Amino acid sequence: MLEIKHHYSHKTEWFSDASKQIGATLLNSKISVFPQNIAQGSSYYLPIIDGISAVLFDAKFKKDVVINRHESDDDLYILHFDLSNTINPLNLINSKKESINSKFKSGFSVLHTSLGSTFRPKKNQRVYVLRILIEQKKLINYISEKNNSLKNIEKKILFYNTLNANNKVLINSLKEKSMFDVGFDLYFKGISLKILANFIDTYSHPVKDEIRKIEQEAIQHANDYMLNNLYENFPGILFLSRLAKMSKTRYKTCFNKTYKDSPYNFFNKQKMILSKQLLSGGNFSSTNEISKILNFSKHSYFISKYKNYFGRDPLIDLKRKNIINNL
Amino acid sequence: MKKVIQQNSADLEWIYSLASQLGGKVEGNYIVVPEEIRTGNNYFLNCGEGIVSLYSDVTYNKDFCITQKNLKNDFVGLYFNLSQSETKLSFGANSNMMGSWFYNLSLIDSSLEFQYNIQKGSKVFIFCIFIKKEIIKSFLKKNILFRKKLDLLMDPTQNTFIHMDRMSDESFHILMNLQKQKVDDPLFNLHMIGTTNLLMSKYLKKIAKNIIISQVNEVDLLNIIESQRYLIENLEKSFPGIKFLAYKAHMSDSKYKLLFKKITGSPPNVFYLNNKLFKAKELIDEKQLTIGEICKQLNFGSATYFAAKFKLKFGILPKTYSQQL
Repeated sequence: MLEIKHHYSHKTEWFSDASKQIGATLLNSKISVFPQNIAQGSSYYLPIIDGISAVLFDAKFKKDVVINRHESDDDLYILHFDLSNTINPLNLINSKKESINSKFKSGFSVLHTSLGSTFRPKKNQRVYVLRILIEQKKLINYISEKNNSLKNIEKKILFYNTLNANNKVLINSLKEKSMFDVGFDLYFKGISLKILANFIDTYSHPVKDEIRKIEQEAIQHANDYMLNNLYENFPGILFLSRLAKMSKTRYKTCFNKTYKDSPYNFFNKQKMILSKQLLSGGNFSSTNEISKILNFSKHSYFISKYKNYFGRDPLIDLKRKNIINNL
Repeated sequence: MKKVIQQNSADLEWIYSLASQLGGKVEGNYIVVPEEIRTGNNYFLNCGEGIVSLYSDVTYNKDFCITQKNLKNDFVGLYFNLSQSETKLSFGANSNMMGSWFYNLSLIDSSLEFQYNIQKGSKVFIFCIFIKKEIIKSFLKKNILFRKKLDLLMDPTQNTFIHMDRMSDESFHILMNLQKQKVDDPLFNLHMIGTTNLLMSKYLKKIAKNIIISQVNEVDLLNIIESQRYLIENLEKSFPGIKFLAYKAHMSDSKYKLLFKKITGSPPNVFYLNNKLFKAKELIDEKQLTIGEICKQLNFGSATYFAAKFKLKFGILPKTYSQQL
């Protein structure tokens, strides 16, 4: 098993060091082409703008290789994107060179140079890994300009996330290009910056499952039905979801988001408000009548519900109106 | 009519003189101009050594005549023009219409003096990249294979040159993506440098492929652009067929196919499908329609076909894309 040790910094020396260890030929001090007996492919290191650089790794390995990254004091964040067919194992190692058992299963993780890591590319598949290195200060600046809560980043916690779809599309467009193409470095630069911007954007504004316009209208439609049929029993989630042409769960989540309440609670609340209107309308002589007209199974149930909502006995509301009517 | 003399260069000295001529001032990276003259965003950025780009998405509220007369002769300008309304570019005795549906890409040497005529009420979207000649020379040193082609392009028997061209479909979508970003966003700088690099890379690739459309007859060119416009405006139908398009463009089938590929870089049906897919992606981004509805709206034969083509183009299934957005 071949072991390669390296560390990250914004100087190009680490790249030539690492290429020497694997026995690769270095072109233009940017591209290192791996020897045929170990792997077929190459890797690319490119400083992008001040404080940001990127490493691209595109190879098919024939031997077992372990790439150990040691911790360093450069204070860099590493955005690690793995777009290989099956994701390659990545482990963190602490200062005692023991591996911490935290496997990053998704294709995207954020690491920091203060903790080392091991990367084991799988054999006989195209390994395609993009790493963007960015100074801690710079990243925090960008994020705090976007949004004030820094959450994980400030505490140096390493985290992993699912890969954002836009970034996937961008990396895929990079994957189609050969490293030896005309203008590849410009393209690589452009794509890396776009990916970084996307990452910061999604990080500072976590994805919200928004309700679409049509869904909103459908929920409104089902709601109108409920409000028009307050004298009946609760029609049931299944019925309402069919009315809104949605699945039961989708209906419930959409409803919860728009009204901040479950459909059943919403219905009962409206029913209680109606009962109060009926009580104060003065057309009824007893609370029992109202509980029957509103389709409550038991009179006592209606009273207890009413007490729950308004904090007083329905009789109090009823009586007052009756006295005024009698006068 | 308001007359302005613009003196661009690949550093940022010219901005102040331009702003003062327009009666405005420079604030941060913006050129702020009074509203009665023009409204919109005018944003410039230094994108690395020797490269300056200018993003200008404005509406002119007066008739304008911009004369470009550069003080320095050490750079070239790459102008991407995606204005919906046309602007007239004249140099010497020649004049050309620029805009989304005319020539939309020009490479102009800094020693050349030229004029833009812009009418009142025009919406203009231009992305300019000014590159120092030294940077190009140092690039040429690294890419020896490439030197002949660029030399040919940059020195056609005289020192001053101007090249009118159409940008590739990909560059068009890259710019559209940039236009969607908010200029006051702190991440806009990243997007802008990124876009500048992507566009330069695409342009180099175009030169490498040796597609120079100035050899095409102008009438034919305008016809092809018109048919491109027809395709983009009718994305919700099915592909009308080469026969119909060729008839519309007053050409034979084979000539039409050949010219279309020469100018846009892809055959008509591929161009149409690609634009459909980009449109579909845009619709998914808006999050108002489901995949099925989008598929129906854009007249794809079946959802499976749509998903397969989407995956081929973007490397991800539409459903996954919408979920991970």
